Amino acid sequence: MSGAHLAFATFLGVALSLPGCAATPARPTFDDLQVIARGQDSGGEFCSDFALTVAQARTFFAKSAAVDAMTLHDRYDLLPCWVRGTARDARGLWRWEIRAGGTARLESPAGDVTLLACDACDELLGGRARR
Amino acid sequence: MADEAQIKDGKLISSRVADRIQSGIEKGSLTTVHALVVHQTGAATSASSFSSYQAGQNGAHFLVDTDGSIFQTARVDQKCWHVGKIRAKCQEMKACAPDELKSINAILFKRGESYAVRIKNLHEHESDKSYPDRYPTNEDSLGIEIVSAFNERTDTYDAVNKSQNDSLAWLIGTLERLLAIGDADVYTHGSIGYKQKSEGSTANWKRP
Repeated sequence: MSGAHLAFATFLGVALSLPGCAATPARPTFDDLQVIARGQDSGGEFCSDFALTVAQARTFFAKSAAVDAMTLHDRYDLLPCWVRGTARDARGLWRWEIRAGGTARLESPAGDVTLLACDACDELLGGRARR
Repeated sequence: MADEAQIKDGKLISSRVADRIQSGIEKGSLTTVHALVVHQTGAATSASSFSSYQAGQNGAHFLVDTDGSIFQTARVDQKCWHVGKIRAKCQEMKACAPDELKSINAILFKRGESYAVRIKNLHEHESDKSYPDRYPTNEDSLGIEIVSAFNERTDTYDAVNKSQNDSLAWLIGTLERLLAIGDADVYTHGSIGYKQKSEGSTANWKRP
């Protein structure tokens, strides 16, 4: 199974057991995905042009995998620029945030949060991503 | 009788420190220690850290458990991978010389590079500087991990508790004395790297 397929399987909520991966709760189908805001925390001037289209956000989630907090901290950088959005499914409204360094948070309608990271999203997240 | 801690063969010898050295996280000789970096683990138990250390990747030199127990997990004359990429210190302190600020901005705002590559390049640029003109790196610092869960819902670490802060104060005071490190050379990870800015913010090692 390729990395992309593996990530996509995780994206669909298939139960997987990988070192460093968090328990994977079910995820939304992202049929109704919307980008609602983008911005930056302090020190984020250099990535202030970070933006994603709906299609790019969908690709990010397809390529990303769930990770636990310790793995996220040890292996990934938390960049100060973000794009936030929502997704809706039968369970309700999901909220998400993707950061310019390839990390993300996905919050279920019940308030449970899954941390995500993408190892193959450099091109997607570059300054050229905006359309 | 007072416990006079000392360093011998890279080990901090004291009744307050338990030897739990994990050779897998030792990454080569550390010849100079300029600074200490305070981290939080992101997991509720020390067992998670020890399990991670056994994989032989990231780690730090000391681990402060939830009850204040101090474990030495790597020798102080060995490098550990605990810092990651550093920010530009002069930029954070708003103290860059004009030419240096220009160089930093050229790296950070370089078109055609992903943001991840830009901060990697900035880290390399900073690493060429001498301490204290830059933040500490794996090459010249010791790491102290505090066992603390990370709350995904609130996006924050659990607060460092009193037992941990008491132990941290003793450990940092001891290392400062034995390694001739000043108070200004102790950093929280969140203040120097591209991590949660709150990491280490509830750690209080300064005695009243």
